[in-house]
Amino acid sequence: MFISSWGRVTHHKTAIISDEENKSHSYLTVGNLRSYGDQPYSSKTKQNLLNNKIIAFNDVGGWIEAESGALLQDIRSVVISYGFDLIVVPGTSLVTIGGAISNDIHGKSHHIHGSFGNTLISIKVSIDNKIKTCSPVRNAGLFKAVIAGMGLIGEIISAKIKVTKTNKLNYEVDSFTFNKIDDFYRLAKKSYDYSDSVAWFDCKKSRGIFFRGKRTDRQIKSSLKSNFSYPFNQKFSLINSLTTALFNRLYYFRHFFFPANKKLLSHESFHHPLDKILGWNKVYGSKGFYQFQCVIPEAYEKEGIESIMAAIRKSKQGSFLSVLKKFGPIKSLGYLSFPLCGTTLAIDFPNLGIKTTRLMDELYLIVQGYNGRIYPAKDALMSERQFKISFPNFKKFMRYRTKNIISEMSKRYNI
Amino acid sequence: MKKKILIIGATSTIAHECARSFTSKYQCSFTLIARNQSELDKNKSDLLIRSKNANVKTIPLNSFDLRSIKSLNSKLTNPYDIYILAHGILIENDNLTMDKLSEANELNINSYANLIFLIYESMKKINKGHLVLFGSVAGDRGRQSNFWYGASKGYIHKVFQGIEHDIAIHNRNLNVSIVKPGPTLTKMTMHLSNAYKFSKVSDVAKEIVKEIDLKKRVIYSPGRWRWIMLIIILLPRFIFNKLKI
Repeated sequence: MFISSWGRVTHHKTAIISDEENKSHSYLTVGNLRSYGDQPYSSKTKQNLLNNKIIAFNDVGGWIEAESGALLQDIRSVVISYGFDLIVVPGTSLVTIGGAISNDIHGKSHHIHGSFGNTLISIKVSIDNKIKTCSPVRNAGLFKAVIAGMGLIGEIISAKIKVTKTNKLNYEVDSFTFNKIDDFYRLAKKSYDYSDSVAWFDCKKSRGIFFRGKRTDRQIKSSLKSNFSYPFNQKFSLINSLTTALFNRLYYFRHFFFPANKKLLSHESFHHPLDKILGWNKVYGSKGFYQFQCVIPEAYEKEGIESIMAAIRKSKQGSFLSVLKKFGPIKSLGYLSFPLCGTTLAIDFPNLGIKTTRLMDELYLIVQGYNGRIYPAKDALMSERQFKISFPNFKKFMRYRTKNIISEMSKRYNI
Repeated sequence: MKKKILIIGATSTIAHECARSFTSKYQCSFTLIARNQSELDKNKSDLLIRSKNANVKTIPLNSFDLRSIKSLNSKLTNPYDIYILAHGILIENDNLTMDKLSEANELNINSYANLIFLIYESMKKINKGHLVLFGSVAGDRGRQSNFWYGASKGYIHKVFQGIEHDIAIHNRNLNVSIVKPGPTLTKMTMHLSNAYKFSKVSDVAKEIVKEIDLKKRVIYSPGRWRWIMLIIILLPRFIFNKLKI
């Protein structure tokens, strides 16, 4: 059967194996297919979404242990019922625990809490049919390889995740418009003690909106739970320069004239606004889209981000989904973890063929020039050379690499 | 509200998802029965953590073994509100061998019938309870792609009709339903080439539990399969025989 990753630029023919069949370890385990490029593609695939049981919950120690196919959304609803909450959540709650570990995902609270790997107590992983437990103290090397290991070490069976005791489930959000990149950094610095912060950015006009949030126990009266699925499968992208320009203006001026001031938002609408529309990736049409996400180290962050934006502006491509975020100094644990202390920028580009890949190549070169990194979870185009330069710990990773698990991405990176 | 629920084949994906769905509505006391004790233990802790006031008991059962089935009898003296029989294996006509067929029939027909017999007899004595059988849309009309599996599910449909008639004639205070899930993504079907088009098990289970609550007789889930199967049943042979379904 054919599977496609979230970007839908390519589709891949694969054989899905069942739980019982074939225990010789030559398959790649995938979760909810939320990575963008060729990371989940291989000739033999195991889907682990149905391995979603909760194994244990400990309210004294503050942790939950669950099978790797459980979605973060599901886990969160369970820990909330005990008066706890997850510590690190990404922009979508529709990722599995296995996927969150394998990409060492991050969220709006990175500057305070680090990435998902920093909240793990231990991981059980099946390598060549043997189950091994690893943690920061036990099999620590394996632990660092599995975190952000892109599924190439083995099949993650389950994980023990730290949770935090809190009854503050919603957010009080402030918004500020800015029209200089300096202002973004000034706002980020000023808001450092806010648990969550992120900015939306309009590359063409060089202006944006800075959001910061604090947890609150204020209750939301009625939360409309929409479960809308994007119903079309049209050929063309609804996101083009016209709709983007229109949306960007509306969005900017809405916050310019009516900035949020301690506005009460639910966890879902603050952290996962796009989860309200299931299958939103189809908005980009059947050719799909690329996402560019990089991080530039703190030393050159302003310069780096500015030259990336200049290149994007020149290309006249892009969409309204562009996000700027300051990463903090907490070290990510995985050998191939993406976050660095610095600034991350993420932008979607509708796939216009060679025009878009050329732009991506150009952006990738700029990132490399500033000693930055491309996020493999979003990547479909990085070369072996760039990967190996920007993730120098790959050599340590290779010590734990299970050679017979092969994905299209591992072929591209030659790891 | 409290509910006592017995589930045979409790480690099947749909059955476990139904159990989760019940816990979100009621204070449940489950008896989970299946072959694999370690899988049962996992399901037990999953339900207990998800629902603080649930109560779960597990019983391992080898449903290929008549003695093992008979030994269950002593555990059925306490009445349950709902009895769910969800065990079974899927076979496809492609690459079918006689060994596979005979194993599947042993489980899907013989053992299933024995368990219905055992449970229905005890229900009659207590004169209380709701029996939920698992059929399949495959059992509605024999089709070239899966008629061996379909036939075993058709057998269950006939038993369902018989029990329904028996309850009516003898005016028993019992209910019986048959669940016919449409193609659903479960551990049993995930390797099939078109599995990505199948319904999500959590949606299917939610609908099943809702319909069980309403004491519906024939439960198609998702509901649209009632109408799809109606059309397939009513298709004249000269058309049906031209369709490769």
